[in-house]
Amino acid sequence: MTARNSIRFLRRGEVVELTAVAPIRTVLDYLRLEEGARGTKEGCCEGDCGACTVALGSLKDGRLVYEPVNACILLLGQIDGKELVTVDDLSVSGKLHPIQQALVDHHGSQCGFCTPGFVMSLFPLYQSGAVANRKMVVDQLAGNLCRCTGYRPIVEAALAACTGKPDDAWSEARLEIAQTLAGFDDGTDLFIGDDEEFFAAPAFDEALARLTEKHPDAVILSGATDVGLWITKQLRPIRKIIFLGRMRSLREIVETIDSVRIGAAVTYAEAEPSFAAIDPDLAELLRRIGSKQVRATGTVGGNIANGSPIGDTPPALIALGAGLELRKGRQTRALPIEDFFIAYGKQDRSPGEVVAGVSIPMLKRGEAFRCYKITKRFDQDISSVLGAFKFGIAQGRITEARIAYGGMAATPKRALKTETAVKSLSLDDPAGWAAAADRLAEDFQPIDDHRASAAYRSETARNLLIKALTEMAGEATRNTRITGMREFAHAG
Amino acid sequence: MTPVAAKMKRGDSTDGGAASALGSRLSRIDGPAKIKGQARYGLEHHPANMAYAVIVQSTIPSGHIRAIDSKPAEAAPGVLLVITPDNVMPLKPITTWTGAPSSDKPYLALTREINFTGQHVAAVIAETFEQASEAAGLLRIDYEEKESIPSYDDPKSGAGNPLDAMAVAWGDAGRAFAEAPVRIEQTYRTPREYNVPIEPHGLVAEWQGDMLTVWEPSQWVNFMIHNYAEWYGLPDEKVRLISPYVGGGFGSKAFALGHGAIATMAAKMLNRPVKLAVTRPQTFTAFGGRPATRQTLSLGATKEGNLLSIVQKGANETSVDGVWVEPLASVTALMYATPNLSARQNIVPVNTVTPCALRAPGENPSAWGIECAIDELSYEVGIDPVAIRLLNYAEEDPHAKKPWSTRRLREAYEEGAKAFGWAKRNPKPRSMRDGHHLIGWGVAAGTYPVRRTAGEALVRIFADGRAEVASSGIDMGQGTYTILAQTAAEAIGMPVEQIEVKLGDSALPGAPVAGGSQLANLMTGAVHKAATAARDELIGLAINDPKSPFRELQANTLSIADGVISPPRGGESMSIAELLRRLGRDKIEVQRDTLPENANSAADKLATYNTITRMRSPTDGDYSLHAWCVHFIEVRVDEDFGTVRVSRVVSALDSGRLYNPKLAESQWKGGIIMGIGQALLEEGLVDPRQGRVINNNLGDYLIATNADIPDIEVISVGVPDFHASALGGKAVGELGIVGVAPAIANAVYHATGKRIRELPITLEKLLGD
Ligand SMILES: Cc1cc2nc3c(=O)[nH]c(=O)nc-3n(C[C@H](O)[C@H](O)[C@H](O)COP(=O)(O)OP(=O)(O)OC[C@H]3O[C@@H](n4cnc5c(N)ncnc54)[C@H](O)[C@@H]3O)c2cc1C
Ligand code: FES
Ligand code: FES
Repeated sequence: MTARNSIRFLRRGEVVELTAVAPIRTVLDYLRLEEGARGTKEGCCEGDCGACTVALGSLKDGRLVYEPVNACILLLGQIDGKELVTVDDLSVSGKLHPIQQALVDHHGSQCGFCTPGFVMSLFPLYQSGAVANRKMVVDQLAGNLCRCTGYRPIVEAALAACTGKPDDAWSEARLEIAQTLAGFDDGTDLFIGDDEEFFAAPAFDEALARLTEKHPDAVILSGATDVGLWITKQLRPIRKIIFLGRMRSLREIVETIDSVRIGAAVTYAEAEPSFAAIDPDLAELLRRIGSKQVRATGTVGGNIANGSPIGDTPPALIALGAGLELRKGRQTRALPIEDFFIAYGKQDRSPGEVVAGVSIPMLKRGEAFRCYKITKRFDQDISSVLGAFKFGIAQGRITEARIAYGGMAATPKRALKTETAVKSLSLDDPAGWAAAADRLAEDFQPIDDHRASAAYRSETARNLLIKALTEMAGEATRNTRITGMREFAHAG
Repeated sequence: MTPVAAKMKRGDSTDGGAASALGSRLSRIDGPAKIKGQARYGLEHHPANMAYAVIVQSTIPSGHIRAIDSKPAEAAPGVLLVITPDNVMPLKPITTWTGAPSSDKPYLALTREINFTGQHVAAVIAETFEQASEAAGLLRIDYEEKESIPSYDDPKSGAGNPLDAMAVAWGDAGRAFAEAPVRIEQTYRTPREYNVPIEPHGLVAEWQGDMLTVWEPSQWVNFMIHNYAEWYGLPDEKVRLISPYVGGGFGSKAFALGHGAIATMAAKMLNRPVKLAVTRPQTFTAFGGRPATRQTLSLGATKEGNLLSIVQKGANETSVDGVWVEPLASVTALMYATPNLSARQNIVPVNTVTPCALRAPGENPSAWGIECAIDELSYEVGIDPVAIRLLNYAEEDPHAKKPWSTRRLREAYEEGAKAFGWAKRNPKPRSMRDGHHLIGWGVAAGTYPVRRTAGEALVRIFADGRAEVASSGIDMGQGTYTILAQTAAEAIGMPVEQIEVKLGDSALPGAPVAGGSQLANLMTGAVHKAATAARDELIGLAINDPKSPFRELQANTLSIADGVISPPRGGESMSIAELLRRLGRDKIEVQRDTLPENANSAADKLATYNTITRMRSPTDGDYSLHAWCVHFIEVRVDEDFGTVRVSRVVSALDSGRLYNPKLAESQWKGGIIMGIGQALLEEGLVDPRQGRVINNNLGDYLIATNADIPDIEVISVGVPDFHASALGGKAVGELGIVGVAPAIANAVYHATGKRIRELPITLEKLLGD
């Protein structure tokens, strides 16, 4: 079967087809340098500030959905099959878009440099048809920094504009847009370039197998929320890219009665409902990873594959007892996820091997889960410490325990000694908990770095365990969560 | 102080009046362009045939470059030029912003001597940005490293150099402290902090013959062109700087910097336009932010809480090759009445880029010290933190011994406390809880001086009924475009929509720095003067010109409102446009400045717009001029993890008259959130070996996000202060941040019983003891 050698996307109602695409071309550079559309700004080039936010429209289960993404670290090839909307497009024939009008009315802009990014973060919320509330808006804007306004005027503008009834050029053209996007979905493999330098986006298993066998040195790309930084910050000379975002088999979520299997190329945003079905803490953890922009393209597969000691999902998945599925060529193998992380920067993955998916067992009756992410800043911050706990509980005693931490060692790691000590603890007798928590010192010797000191990490790890035990101790606290104003709530 | 009449006019929308008049809440007129993405910032101007420059920075903190091998970079694809210390173009010395010569030696933008990690050492210019970046990685630099002093916490740094000129003293503070019945002595610290405007620095430079055009974000167009002109030995007219929009500056965009020298010389050497965008990590060393500061404060007081003495010993970091003074006594010697005071300050050279201005330089760390210390004293003597501040209220400027022009700080305490509900506060630390969280309420005051420099404006009224205001002064978000349109509309009597404001271009009439929170006051003054003169000229023509229909009325004046000229006692009226057409005039043009009449020569103007030598101090004259504020802040602390969230802020501020309350409130709130970030998050982390800023990006240098910001209520308690400015305003932009960090630290103490005296208040400082 011949592969398609161009990328296609929808832009301002027209289909754009590009055949010459440098594999590491970012969407931001494409916009500003090739298209000359300079409304989209660059404030950091590493996904942190949101000034470069643009919206991508795509079909999800047949529905047209818009999501904000950071154009600075998104590769052009990743928008194949989607609609690209930028701030330059919004006001039609001189009339401000309702979001723009609300931002003017509420004084949502001072120096204006962050403003296009905020507009484009709000655009998907507007299109979603949701009646926005404060919590949704705060979540929507987590990835946009503003140094001038104090944010509140922007929040007010969002609440005023996103009233549940999108009425703009996009809402009018929904059907047409959806049809065009459906037409893009030709199911072919995509390959642009030559054997030395290419952007490949296979759709089928055979094509992926062929590519990874032939080019074990190619960079496997999922959401580019890490790889994008290799390009823009570390200036790594990447010439070969295999993008998994079009792989049908890796984009599936399969829910059964006792487990959920998440394909490696499923984005955080797409995984959120399934994570919520496992446990609300897991959904909350997901919501605190990066920002809407990061979650729109970033994947759980990438979070596992990069092996970072401070990645957020691995400790939670370890505590839940998840299994990892790896695929090399046509061979697949499975292993418990904790075995994947060997040492700092070293994972059990050979060149050309891809993470295919992760299977997470559902919680059984008598099992409870807690997961807490501790950061300096509430949003858009890397964990200082992350603790995840799964306990089996019977008659007020802990019968089973799986405990894992991030930020405590060179890899996400299980607290095996502590687990042993926790098993058989009585939930009615807090006096016994401290001794179990002492065992953490045997499991972990954390280090000082700029996110937290070793002493802080150790003490926080302890306090998280005690917190989890406290919350498990009563039937009511085990099964409820206090949410409230999340700006004020922290660590659950 | 004059008692305030019940219905005192505030000069803003609270008095009523037209929806667009000066003082009204008119929405920002540059808003739509920004929100549509149509506002073009400096780096977005792409002349034809533009080349890209990328800067390379040193990886050692101190030493020198033995050799640079640039051959591999020069041979790389697309590379046009590599500039190193070996071929850097020597530029002429300049006149600095203080009016002093920079040096008698040529200025070298790149040198072999290295004074800090992150110093520019080379630049690569290529056809594309990618090619320049790739080649930059090919430079081989052989360094010889010397011992360095990464920060002033390094014992090698010593005590630093005393700044005798900054010393303040009255009474015998040392003795009074020693003899005081109640004594507090503590050291308060702030870390290095960075401006981080969301628009990074950079420029596009183009030469046409000996004419240089620079597109660069600027807070001070006139000084920057003068600087560029002096570097190249040109008259100012040969340089044009265009900066209609500035994506934030906060003090960091007032000067031509090393990267500006590199881009302009590269453009000259290549005879091509060159774009140089400083990368976000490079912005952390391409210019300095606020230096780290420490101050030991000794407060002596009576048992009743009356201050007897304040002794301050302060220090700030500076660089080994430059001097930056962060005036630590500016609030200490102003806020409270004390019979004895002594304040001394050292600067400690370390291997860093020279620090520079960051929102409220001086006042900000100064308030951090004194506003924490007075709070400590309040607990020591057992009185309410607001009460102790009122007890020691300064009825006049305790340092200059002059009356305040206006000081509505009592009103600020009163209104702020009322809105916050301060009266319900349980004074005991750790006494307020909400579920798992400890709650704390804290208060602190702040102040910022009124700085005054003259300005100039051009006003044109056109025959089509529009008018134009022009100045090289800039708008980086403060709202200059909007308030100047309002000022002109009101002075002429025209609808504000008919007024176009042109800013940020050196081809326009000059203006001093948009810094020190002075621009709004001085520019409204200049525009008001020019617009009033234009209006008078219009009326003069209407009365006297033979072609004018008003002439036969023989009136001695006419009124203008909404663009229509009317006779005083009824009769036919006529639009401005119609009159100008009848007179056969295409426009009326008036330029006015606010320089003193006996000192407004061309040389005086240069000194006024290109230096700060003509900026009047707040105590020059009969009064002491300052803006004031009080912040009431609630925090919630989770003691298990040391996390602090600010959950409520009520601030009452006296900035005099507000020309546009919507804009002023937005400035205040922006300052307050920057203060929240300063209190809880912001900290330049310096690697103790290499002096490298470890967290030189927006993912690790944490500024407040939306979720960190609670509801903020701001209350204006100001009244017009005509000693302070022509139209009654005082300082706005830098006021809001002053006092926020101590209010938070005081609230944290109230919540937890723990005094954190070193910013930021991070997780681990609250855990452990
Ligand atoms: C602003 C910002 C905020 C962030 N915040 C957080 C946070 O709060 N918590 C957190 O944990 N992370 C955070 N990250 C990091 C990042 O988002 C995650 O690690 C993400 O999960 C990576 O997924 P991705 O799909 O984008 O991976 P990519 O960038 O595409 O790839 C990451 C790595 O994994 C490899 N890879 C990807 N997919 C596969 C696969 N299927 N098989 C084999 N190898 C593969 C790539 O080759 C690469 O080495 C943040 C990143 C940014 C830019
Ligand atoms: S430029 Fe900052 S997130 Fe993209
Ligand atoms: S308005 Fe300046 S950064 Fe948001």
